[in-house]
Amino acid sequence: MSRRLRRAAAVLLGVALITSACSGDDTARDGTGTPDTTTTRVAAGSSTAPLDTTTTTGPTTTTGATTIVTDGVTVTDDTIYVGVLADLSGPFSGNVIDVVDAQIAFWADLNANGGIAGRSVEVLVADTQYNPVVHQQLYANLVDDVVMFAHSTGSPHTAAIADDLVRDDRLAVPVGWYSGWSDPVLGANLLELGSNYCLESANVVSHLTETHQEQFSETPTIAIVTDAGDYGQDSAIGAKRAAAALGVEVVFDGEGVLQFGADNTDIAAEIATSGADYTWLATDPLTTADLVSKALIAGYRGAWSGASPSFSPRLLDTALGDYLASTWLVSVFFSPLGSDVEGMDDVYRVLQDAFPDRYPSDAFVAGYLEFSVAAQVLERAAELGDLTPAGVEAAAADLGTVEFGGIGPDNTFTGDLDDSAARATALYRPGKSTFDEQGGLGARLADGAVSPFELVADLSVSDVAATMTLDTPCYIFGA
Amino acid sequence: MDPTAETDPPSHPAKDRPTGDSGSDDFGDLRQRLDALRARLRAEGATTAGAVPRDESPTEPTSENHQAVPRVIPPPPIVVEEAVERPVASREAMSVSPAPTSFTPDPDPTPQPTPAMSSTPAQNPAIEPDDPVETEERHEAWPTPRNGRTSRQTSTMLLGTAFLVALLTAAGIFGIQRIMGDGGSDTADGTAARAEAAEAATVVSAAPATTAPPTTATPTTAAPTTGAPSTAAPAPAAPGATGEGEAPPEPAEVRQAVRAALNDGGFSDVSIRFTDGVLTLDGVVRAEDVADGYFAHVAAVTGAVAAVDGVDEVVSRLSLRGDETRLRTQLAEIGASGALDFETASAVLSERALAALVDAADVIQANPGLRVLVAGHTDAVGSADVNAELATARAGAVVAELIRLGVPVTRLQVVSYGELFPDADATDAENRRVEFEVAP
Repeated sequence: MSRRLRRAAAVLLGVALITSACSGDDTARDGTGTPDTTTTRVAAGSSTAPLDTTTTTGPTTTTGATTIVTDGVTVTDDTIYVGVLADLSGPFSGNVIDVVDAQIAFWADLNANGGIAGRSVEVLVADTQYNPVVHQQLYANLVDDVVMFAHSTGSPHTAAIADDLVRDDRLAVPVGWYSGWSDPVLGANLLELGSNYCLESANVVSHLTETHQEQFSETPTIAIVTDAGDYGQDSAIGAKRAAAALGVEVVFDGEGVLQFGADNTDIAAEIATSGADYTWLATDPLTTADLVSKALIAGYRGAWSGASPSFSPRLLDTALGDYLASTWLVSVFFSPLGSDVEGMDDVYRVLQDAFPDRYPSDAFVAGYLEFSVAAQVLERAAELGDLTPAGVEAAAADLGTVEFGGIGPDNTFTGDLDDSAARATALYRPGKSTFDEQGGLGARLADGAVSPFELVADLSVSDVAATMTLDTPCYIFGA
Repeated sequence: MDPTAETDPPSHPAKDRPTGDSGSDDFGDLRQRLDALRARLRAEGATTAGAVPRDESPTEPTSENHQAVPRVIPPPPIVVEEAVERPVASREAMSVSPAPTSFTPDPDPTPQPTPAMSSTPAQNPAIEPDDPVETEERHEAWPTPRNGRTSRQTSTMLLGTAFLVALLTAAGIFGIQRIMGDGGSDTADGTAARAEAAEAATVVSAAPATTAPPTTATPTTAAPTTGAPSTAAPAPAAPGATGEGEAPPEPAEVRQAVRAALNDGGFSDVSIRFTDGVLTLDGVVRAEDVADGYFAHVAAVTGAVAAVDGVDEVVSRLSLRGDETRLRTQLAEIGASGALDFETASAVLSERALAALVDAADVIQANPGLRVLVAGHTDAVGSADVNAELATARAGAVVAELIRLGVPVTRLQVVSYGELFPDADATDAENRRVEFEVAP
């Protein structure tokens, strides 16, 4: 067969496949003919069971099992539009880009498997630059075009749009683990995934204290150094609550002293002077690199840990790599990429197909979880027959507990947010040898490369975190 | 009640550690190692406190830190993990248990070079020097000259031009017409286009100069149901396409036509690989491109090339992240060249450094979607504090020059390592340096 004929055959095959996938759309658009039925298949990797729901796929189609209402703008006959407000160029962009890329890969996979109620999902992406003002502006630009936001980077940034989300009947998946999301007003339209900064730091300080006491029969000292605002100070307060409960002396309280791009020399000197056994950070990976190196220069010899966004495995590729591998304890909300948990194989396969040449970033897992919860909400809204923004909002409340196949803790978005908050976090050590053996930053998903993290303590809840009430956020601005 | 707490009864993480999670996996052991290191450092300090400091340069009275307070610097305070030989764990074998149960053999047991050393393609497993496709990728990734050209780029241009002239002369009039059409249309990606044009010029039955903008597309893996390509129909034959019975286009022809189509569509920075009828598109999707829809943008890119004769399938590998391995390798080459070394106690860029930074700026610009750590180092002469400041100044000088050359400040971050990380095999002069790292 000539190359041209082969191509023509390939095109015809593609047309046949696409026609099959989109047949419901055509019926809905022209409103004539026999309504096609569409079996909505959940993307591989999604933790939802296949819906196998027979639906019609047009807002005005009356035949079929279910009529789906849309507003015709944010959801049309053939497309569901979701928004992404992401830090693609700011201090967290190293991880956030991976989060968003992964989410998009899963949407593409879902689209290839029939989409949701016969509709493809389209993602409108905006770079917020980790700037709350820009974040708000971009939200305003996008809100009328999207049925929900599948990603919103940053706790202060997401808090800044929280009221608007309620007003506009939009949901958002925050990539920021502020304890304020448990507030019934602030967190009303947020689909929080995993634990929060306040509980996380309480868990880690508890772990450090207990293991230190076991090893040395003494209570350790700690320095707490964090960014200002809903992220860093939420984390600092959790650490201080745990320290107070466990009798740990805070020898340097640097709550809120860090600012991205500022000169941290004096702060590093204070860490060194404090002589703390451990330093708890809540910042971005770039500031981590800067502060750790300066503290080393100043003579600090203690160990480190920090809120999940403070660390990136890419730090292992820097000159600090060996040092951090030995002195940093990684706190995570979710299982690292490649972990031996129930749902990981399907997740890995999708990522491997989409990004065979990419480094096995753990941030991909967060992207999957974002996708998963957003897809489940949209699928539930389709089942309920209402894909308007308000319908999607209502579907979240109807969703019940969401499970992630062991990749992350279950989440519930209904009822008392304090009761439903996930509280478990896990601890890992960065495995420099694994990182190097897999080729460092050149490690490839196609080769089966996995996260270099090595388990220290699996997802669990400390006594301090278990008894912490979240009816009010740990950190409240101005309080 | 917290549902998580129900499934995970409140307990202490330390008590939940699996059996076999010894203290060596925890900070307790680290503390012991730190204590041991401290003791060793104390001992070394006692024996060397009165040692004569290294004389950085007898002819240079100014020390590294401007101070005349020499100091013996202990080894960097790094606690290195025990050197345990461990092969790569396969994904299937990956377990959260601290005691891995099974592993796949390490396909390449050769120890990985340190970041500062892995500066050549031969050392980087992501680059296959013998793979012509990858070679093409690197050419495409090399930056297009902006205001000025480096000597390397100028040489490439001259060689390419000379090569083209020779080939055009040999190809004859009808070949000339076709080739000139291609070359004229491909201005945004000069190096790659020149290479592709040169390849095409060697083939008498070359593909048409430009490919008509496609109205339909073959299905892609990235945007199967969104955007124009989702309503694909049989692609019309592109002008000049080979007919039945004619020889299929050569890969070089296809690549040339694809490049032209991408340039025509405004997607000149998309990299391509073409093998056995499968066209793989690679490159960075910028935020401004996807404000109206990620899949729509990808569909536009794939649609631009789907009708090119010889392309049976288009696979998109476009993503928001740049190729960090390529960026790291290219920047490491610049750092390893020694061009960014400094004089004693100086943060002034040399003429050689200024020239190297033109290349560095081009590399950074050609690899969007990634940030760069600019790391300053010093030798070990002088006080640690002052050396830290000097390292900051050196990195700052590099950043300032890169910004002057057009690199956005948001893509650069200074980090000062001071005297912490000397290259053990290097001289003092070589440790007075700036290196690039891919930002985490």
